[in-house]
Amino acid sequence: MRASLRQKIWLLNAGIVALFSTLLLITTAYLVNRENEREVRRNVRATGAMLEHLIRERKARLMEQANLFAQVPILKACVQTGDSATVSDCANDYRQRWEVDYVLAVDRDGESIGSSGELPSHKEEARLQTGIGSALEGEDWSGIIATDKGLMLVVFVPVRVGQEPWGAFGVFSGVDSSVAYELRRATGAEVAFAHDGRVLASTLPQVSQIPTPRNTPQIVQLNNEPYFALYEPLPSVPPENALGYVVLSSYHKSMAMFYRFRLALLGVFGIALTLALLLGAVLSGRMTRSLNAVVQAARSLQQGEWPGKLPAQSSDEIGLLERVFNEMTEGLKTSQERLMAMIDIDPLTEVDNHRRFHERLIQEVKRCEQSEEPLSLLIANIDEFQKYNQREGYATGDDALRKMADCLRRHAPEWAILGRFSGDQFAVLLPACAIEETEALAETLRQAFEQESVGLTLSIGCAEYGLHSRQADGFVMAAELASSLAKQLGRNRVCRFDSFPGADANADPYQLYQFFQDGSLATIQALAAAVDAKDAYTQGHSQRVAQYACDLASYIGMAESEIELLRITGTLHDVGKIGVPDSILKKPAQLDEEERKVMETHPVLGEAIVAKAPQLTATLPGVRHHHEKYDGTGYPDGLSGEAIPLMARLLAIADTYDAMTSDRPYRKGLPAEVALSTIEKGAGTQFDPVLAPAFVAMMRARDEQKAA
Amino acid sequence: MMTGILLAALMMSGTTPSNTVDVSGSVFLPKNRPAAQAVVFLEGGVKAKPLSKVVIDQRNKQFIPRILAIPANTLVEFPNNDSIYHNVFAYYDAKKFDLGMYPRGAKKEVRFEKAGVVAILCNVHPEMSAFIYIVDTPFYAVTDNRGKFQIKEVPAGEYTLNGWHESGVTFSQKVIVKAGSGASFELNLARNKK
Repeated sequence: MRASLRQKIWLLNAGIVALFSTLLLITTAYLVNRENEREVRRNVRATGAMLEHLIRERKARLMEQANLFAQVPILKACVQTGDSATVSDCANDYRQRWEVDYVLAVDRDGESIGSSGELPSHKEEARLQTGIGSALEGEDWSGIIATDKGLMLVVFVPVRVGQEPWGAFGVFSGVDSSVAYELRRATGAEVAFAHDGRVLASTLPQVSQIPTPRNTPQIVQLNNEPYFALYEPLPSVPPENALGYVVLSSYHKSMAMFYRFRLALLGVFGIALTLALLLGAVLSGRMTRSLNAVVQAARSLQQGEWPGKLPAQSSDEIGLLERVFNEMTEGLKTSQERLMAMIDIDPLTEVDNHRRFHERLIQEVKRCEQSEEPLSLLIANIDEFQKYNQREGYATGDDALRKMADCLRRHAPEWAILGRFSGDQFAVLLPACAIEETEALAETLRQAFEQESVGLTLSIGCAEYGLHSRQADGFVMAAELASSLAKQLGRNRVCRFDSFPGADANADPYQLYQFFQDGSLATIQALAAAVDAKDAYTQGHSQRVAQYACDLASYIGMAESEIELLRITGTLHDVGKIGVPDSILKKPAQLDEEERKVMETHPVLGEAIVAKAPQLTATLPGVRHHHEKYDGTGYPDGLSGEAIPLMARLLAIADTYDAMTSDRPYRKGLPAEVALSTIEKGAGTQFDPVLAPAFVAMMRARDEQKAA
Repeated sequence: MMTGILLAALMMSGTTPSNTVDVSGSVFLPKNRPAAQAVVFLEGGVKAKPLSKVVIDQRNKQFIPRILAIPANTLVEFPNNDSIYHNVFAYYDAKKFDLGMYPRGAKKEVRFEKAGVVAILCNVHPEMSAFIYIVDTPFYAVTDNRGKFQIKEVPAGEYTLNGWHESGVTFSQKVIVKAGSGASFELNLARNKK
């Protein structure tokens, strides 16, 4: 059986009390029993003394009477002559006068010469002969004999003629029940005279046999009543005669006191047991409550929650356990905090790692939401760090990273939150800073890093929460996009995210982020719509480009799966324009050199955005390279010929055609035929030499169909 | 049963006529105590010759003498010399005789014809008693306080030597009394069951 500590303590407690109570009960019973035995012995002694006294008295009386009779001259004469008739007459006379049971006269030879009454049968002949002999020697003799009718006191006296005994005279007087009653009156105990277990006289009627326990009182059943019984041989009787008396103390009477006492004891026992059980329950409860608290605390530790401090007030082992447990918890807590700090902090640069930074970003965003204070973020990329690492070795690379972090620490305000986003990407979160301040700080950083480090530069993107996105993820994406833009614009510069949500709120970068998370066709189309919606002139552009490209692919007999991919790529191809400042995007005039450069970053920005959605990886080449030219004069990578992915070549044709045929802020859309002929001309230079004529052919064939 | 040992030794006695000797001796109770007031007699062929009269006085609530040996047919007189009444009674010859109560100065007589022991008692005074030993021989004696006795002029011959003491011990043995010398006997009395 399994028992809890509490049950064990409880049981132990109860057991001890029960044991002690039982011992008490047993001891009391033993003492009472011993007291009863003493009482019986006292009764026996008293009875014995009484009896001895009674017997002595009766014997003396008998003796006196007998001697008186032995003096009667006629008896003397008869004894001398052996006249048994006369002797018997005398004896009769005597017996009646003194109310004795049996009278006997013997001559000097011990022969009976007359008797009166009837002697009950007995087995005491030898003793009687001793008595007669003693009387014939001139000595009085007395004794007690057992007969069938009871005990008899016997005296023999000499009958003297002159000085000499001429015979003996015996008197037998029965010790009847009256003696027993007399004894009972004196001691209060029942008395039975017994010979060899046979009752001769008794205060208990109808008892004929009785045990005769010597030395130690015994409990005996007489008349269905228990008694303490003790046997004692009669005084002045040889022990071998087995003649004695049994003193009987009523068991119930002697035990009455104990019975009352026992009830009280049982009551005390019950109360003690109840108290012990209650006390045990309380005690064990108290002990195990503390233990349970420790167990609970340990369990909550196991489940990863810090338990509250245990009281640890008592000075016993449990208090010690609690103290040790507290210390252990404290130690664990400290260790874990140290570990957590290690996890939170990038070990190389000792700024927050990505996880921690993101956590604090969320906190700051929440606070910003409540306080209406501005919150800005800058993301700084070390330019061409990968190449630097390969060239200089990783140790030098790590040095550069540390320098970068130092630089951030030195120049950023102390409340700024610094973080390392990825290998060469750092982030600074600036609470209470508007975008302008952040840009200024970014510029300071850029210059400082350029001067301090060995030939490394920074591309920094800035964004302000609320201004560019009202979602934390969108906020970060905005800064990332700005940083990508800076990189695309030739590195070592600062850009701010400058793309405001258009008419469609879905253009919010956070929404983009959400679309990428999803990645379904519907979201992609919505995304495309959002991009196009930024500018009234480009409305529906992405859809159309996708459609043209797909038509062409179909026209040249590409597989259905490829065509489907192409449709998705087409709808996404200009998504990078989200990162292009609206001022450039919506400029109603020819872009200048600088603006054109910014504009030309959009394929790479697009790729960066699409790369966030892993399920869209297959579209990346199309997105990145749709502005490459067949002769290698395109951007961003200047690929040429077949090196340009097929999808990009298809999209380039479709894109150009749609761009030419749709209206622009600075010009009206060209007629379809003009556009087609431009494409036709560009085959082999700007466009694929095979695909461009195919497109033109397809479009013309379509026109003819329309016309027809 | 006879347990006594007869020791006979002849003693010369110059004063006795020829053919007769004086028989003397000592009588002992068991445990060698001298038997005072024991009766000793020799029984042989010769019958007793009664004495004229013997007296047992009653004085100071005593019979005097307490032990009396007499030949058969002797008359015994019981005078009352006390100031109080006495009674003399006894069982004799299988019947009780009772001389009745009589005062001082009175005397009564009884003739004892048959040999045997008679206990003389007083009905009034239980402590009073006397024994009369009636013998059918002329040769008898009662020992003195040291248990010594002497029977004079016993003719030589064969006898039965008897001893009796009131405590119930007796002696009886055949002896030969030789002429010309005195005879001395030691009698060790013993209880002789019937």
